[in-house]
Amino acid sequence: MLFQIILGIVISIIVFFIGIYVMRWHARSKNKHYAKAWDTSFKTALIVNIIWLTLNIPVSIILNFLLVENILINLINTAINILTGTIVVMLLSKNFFKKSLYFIVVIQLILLIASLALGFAFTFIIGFFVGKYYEIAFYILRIGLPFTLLLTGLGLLIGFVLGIVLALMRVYGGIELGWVSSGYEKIFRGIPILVLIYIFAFGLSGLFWFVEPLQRPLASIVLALALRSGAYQSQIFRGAILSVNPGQTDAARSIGMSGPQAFRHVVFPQALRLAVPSWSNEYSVVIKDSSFAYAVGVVEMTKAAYDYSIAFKGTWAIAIGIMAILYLLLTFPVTKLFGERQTKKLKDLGMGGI
Amino acid sequence: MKGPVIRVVDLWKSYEDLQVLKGVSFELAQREVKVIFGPSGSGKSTLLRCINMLNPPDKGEIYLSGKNIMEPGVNLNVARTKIGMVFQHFNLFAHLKALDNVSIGLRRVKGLKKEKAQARALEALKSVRMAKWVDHYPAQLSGGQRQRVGIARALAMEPDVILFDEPTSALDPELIGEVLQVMLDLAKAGTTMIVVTHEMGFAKAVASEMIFLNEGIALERGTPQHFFVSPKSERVKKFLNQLEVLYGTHEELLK
Repeated sequence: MLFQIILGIVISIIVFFIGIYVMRWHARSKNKHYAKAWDTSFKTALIVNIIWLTLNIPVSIILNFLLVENILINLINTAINILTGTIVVMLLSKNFFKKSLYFIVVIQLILLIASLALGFAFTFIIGFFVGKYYEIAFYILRIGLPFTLLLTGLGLLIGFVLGIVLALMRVYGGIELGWVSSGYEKIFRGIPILVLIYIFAFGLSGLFWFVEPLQRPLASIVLALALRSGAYQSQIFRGAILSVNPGQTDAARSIGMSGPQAFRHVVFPQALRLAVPSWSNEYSVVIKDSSFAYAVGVVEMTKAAYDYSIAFKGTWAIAIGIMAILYLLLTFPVTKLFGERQTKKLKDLGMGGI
Repeated sequence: MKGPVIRVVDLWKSYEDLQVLKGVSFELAQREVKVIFGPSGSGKSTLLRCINMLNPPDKGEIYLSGKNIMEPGVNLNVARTKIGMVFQHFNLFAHLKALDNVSIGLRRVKGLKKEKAQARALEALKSVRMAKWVDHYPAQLSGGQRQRVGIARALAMEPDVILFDEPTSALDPELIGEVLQVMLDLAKAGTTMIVVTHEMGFAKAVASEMIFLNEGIALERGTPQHFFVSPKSERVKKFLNQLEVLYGTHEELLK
């Protein structure tokens, strides 16, 4: 029962998003002044779809209890949606009944097909996963994900601080500090991450005298990831700082800000915004590099998958394949969301000019 | 305070081998509007940037209300709060809305509380007729609107003098009028200003003195009357002629 309720909700939400995009697309293709139509059609689509969503979830749950037939549920849902959607569009855009009905019927037909397909796909995929695949994925996530995220998070965070300090040295530090910074970058960008991990874990494990001996491999990986990410991040921030228009500093100084004030309140906020797309890319690099931790025995996702395949014969290919999909799911949406949304935002602010 | 707001004595400035300013001197009294004009490369912008020490000059003296700001140990950040500047390319802070662009100086430099700073910023924006646009980012504004926010930003700090560095040169012709109108209002309200511009109509209307800068030297100076009726040197005559052909006089805007 719980499964069916969750399925009903998930499908309703996905249909909600499809509905918004279909309605926007529909309105846009109808209207030539598309910038404005895009805006207003989005509002309409949002309101209509929210009403549909709030109706659809209880309706599909109730129907799920009464009838088990998937297609019947969808048909009844569609009928309700056509009715409510037409009324809402009529009220919102003060259109005629016939026009609104046509508009909604077209969309509902698309949505009906979409929700049928989704229902089928979800039942199929989840049914498939209940069993070995699901178990493997769950095992990898339960055992490995916390450490993968810990390593990535600490590596990125320390690398962030380091990267900003190095970038500042490079841009404002004069020749000597610039040399130090660029030398650091050259060294840490030139050494493979696995070699760095070995150096810190075995060669220089005395560095971590303050850490419990059993945790030292973990600390060495965090350090290796952080130092390496710092080198890359310093490049990101150096580029971002330099691409802030010098006129911004002039303007800040001209109203009496000191150099550090101008940096803190004007240059740095803009540089951070400019850095977000590349920085989201750096996240995906570090999370993937964290898989090297398996080499010194820290149980993150790679090591978890590996252990599983050793424990149960004949699961090697499946375990590695599922692990690959999990990494993909952890990187792609983030890069996409941060990268593309921020690029668009920067464009709206007139910065970056991509 | 009766002395000049700005007194520049024998200012020299070079960029590497290029000698840009070769001994410029002038005085600017309170409530005075001085217009500096001349061909490109003559050092007009450099002169302004020297006055507020964005590009420190090589030699000479700059007195701000009687105090030489070129002496070592002078706090330039404090001095610059008294010298507003309006830029050719606006240089509004791209990540801040119009209101924050104007209030950031009051908050960070003058240390006002947020509410008070925003109230004063709103006043300044009202005086340049931008009160409607406070919630817009610079990229959402037209060139003329951006420049008016730029003027408000300088104005809000309540400086002793405002330097205008070709404020209308980067604008479309139809947007120049709204900026010039704001500048005229300021001049008439008694704001002390140094304006680098080619808008001769503006100069005619409000300038108390005009300086023609040529190759780093103040070649000729005088009232607008002097320049438009009987300029002495051939160079000035030729330049003014060219300006009229290129830009027109915008006289209809200034009536």
